[in-house]
Amino acid sequence: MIPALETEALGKRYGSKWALQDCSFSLQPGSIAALLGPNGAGKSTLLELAVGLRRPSAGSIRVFGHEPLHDSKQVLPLIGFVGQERPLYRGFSIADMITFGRKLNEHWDDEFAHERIAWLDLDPRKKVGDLSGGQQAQVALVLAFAKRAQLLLLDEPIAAFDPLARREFLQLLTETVADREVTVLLSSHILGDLERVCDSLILLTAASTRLSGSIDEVLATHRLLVGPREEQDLATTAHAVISRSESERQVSLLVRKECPIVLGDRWTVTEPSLEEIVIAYMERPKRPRPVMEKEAVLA
Amino acid sequence: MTWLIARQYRTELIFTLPLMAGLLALFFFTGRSITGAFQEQGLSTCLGAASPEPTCMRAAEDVLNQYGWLTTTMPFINFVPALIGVIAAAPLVLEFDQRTYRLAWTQGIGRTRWFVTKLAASLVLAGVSAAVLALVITRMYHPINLAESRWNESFNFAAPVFISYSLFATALVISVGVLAKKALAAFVASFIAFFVVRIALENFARPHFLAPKVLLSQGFDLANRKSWILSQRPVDANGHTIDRLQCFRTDPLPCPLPADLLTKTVFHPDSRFWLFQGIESGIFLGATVLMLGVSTWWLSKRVA
Repeated sequence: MIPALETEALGKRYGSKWALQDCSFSLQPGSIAALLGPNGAGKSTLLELAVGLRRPSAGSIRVFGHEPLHDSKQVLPLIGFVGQERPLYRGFSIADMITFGRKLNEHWDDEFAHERIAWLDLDPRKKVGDLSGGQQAQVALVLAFAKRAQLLLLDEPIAAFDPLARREFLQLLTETVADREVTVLLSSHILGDLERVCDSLILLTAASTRLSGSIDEVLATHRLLVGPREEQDLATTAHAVISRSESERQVSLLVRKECPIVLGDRWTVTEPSLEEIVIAYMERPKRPRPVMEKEAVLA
Repeated sequence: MTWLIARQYRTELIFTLPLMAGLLALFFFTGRSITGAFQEQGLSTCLGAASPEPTCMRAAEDVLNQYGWLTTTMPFINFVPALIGVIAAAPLVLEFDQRTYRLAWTQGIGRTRWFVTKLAASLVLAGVSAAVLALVITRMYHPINLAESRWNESFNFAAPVFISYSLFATALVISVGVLAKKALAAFVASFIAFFVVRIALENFARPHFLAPKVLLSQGFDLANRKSWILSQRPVDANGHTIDRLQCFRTDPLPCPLPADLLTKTVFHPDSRFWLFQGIESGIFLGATVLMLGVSTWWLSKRVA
């Protein structure tokens, strides 16, 4: 099967700084993938590369086998994209925005767009510029969904939503994926929400992919090991250590399992939560944090 | 795309169309009343002669004196191509200012068709409105040009250059807008740049499109009245300029005029009018094509 989205050694450089480097993964059709990573890890850049808003500096990216920039005629109708800044025509009414979508897209679901705007209790005559941030995000998402795209690329789609709207949107997302053969890649900071709906994840740190695959697989291959400090070599030679924290006698290691874990009685082996794993990958090597001076705080 | 273009120009045109209609009506009815006055006195026929009767010239002058406001008002029409440029280019530039181009470029239509269609719409709007305005102004100047030179006033409003100025202004606003991605900055910078180029060309390049002709004559030559006169000064028989001021400054008493006082006229004959129109509009259209080429290349290269 042709992957919905596939990258190989993909890189993007702005000036001399790499925003994304050595990024390789493949996303199977029908999956809902979470794009995770700290600020500045290149999440937005990756999504923009996929929709052809940017040109790769290195490597390749393919959407259903097509190069986004080169084969934009084939790729653009397949993608529903909502960028982080969610630009909309501020002077247009919501109804105008829907007409915009209908006029500029071939496979447009006008009925869905109008029904969803009505369901969200939004007045179609209202100007986009007068809507709240959350409402603008809803309109931007309606435009992306009504395109009947096969790949939805959503950059922080729920950041502007309250918890209720967040839950409703994620429900819509799962329903859409179940009803039609749609692949979703969405970036977010809110891991808890993503864990409920996503089946795979792509983790970017320091501009490169650190982890990608199905969530079940990720959970199955990581373990939290706690044991005596003096025996830690036993664990570190057999498994890849993702993060480590030490106390006077004990050491706790989050490792990727390379082989069955065989350790002595003095070790406890537990399954970490997805959040623990993701944070372990995102953590940078520890450096002392700058501390505010006491006087400054009092003043 | 047609819908999007119409929707984006809608607000602008609600405000600018009445203004445009007002200008057109003003020039149309002024032209009609001048033509009417000329016909009433049979001036059109007598002005058509190679060297018209002085009485005919004076009568025409009397009629035109009633329209003295034209001489003071018409220079302001030189602002119109720049305004046309800003109005025609605004919807495209605002897409970059408000970053909605990123929304448009991810729709099914694709960025090339989007850009080409929007560009064509701005150019057609600018070209058509400039053409209509230029034709109405030229019609108004038609009787005036029978009596006076058509260079000083009507050259800048003749269709070829007027259209080329408007297209140039449109391309300038679009190019600066695409490069700077800031609408207000693009409008202000283009407005200034437009007038720098426009004034420089009119004053320093236009007189030299061809080598001007020189004529030595006794007295003022009426047959020359339709030419574009660059300079006219008294000279002696040898063609040297007579500097009366210098003479008075050194010794005011013995400053007699030479007996054989001649007038030296440096001018472009009327027959060069359309050639000069062609050269000047060619320069502006060339610059237009160049700027649009650069901004299209910039958009395709510097992707988003």
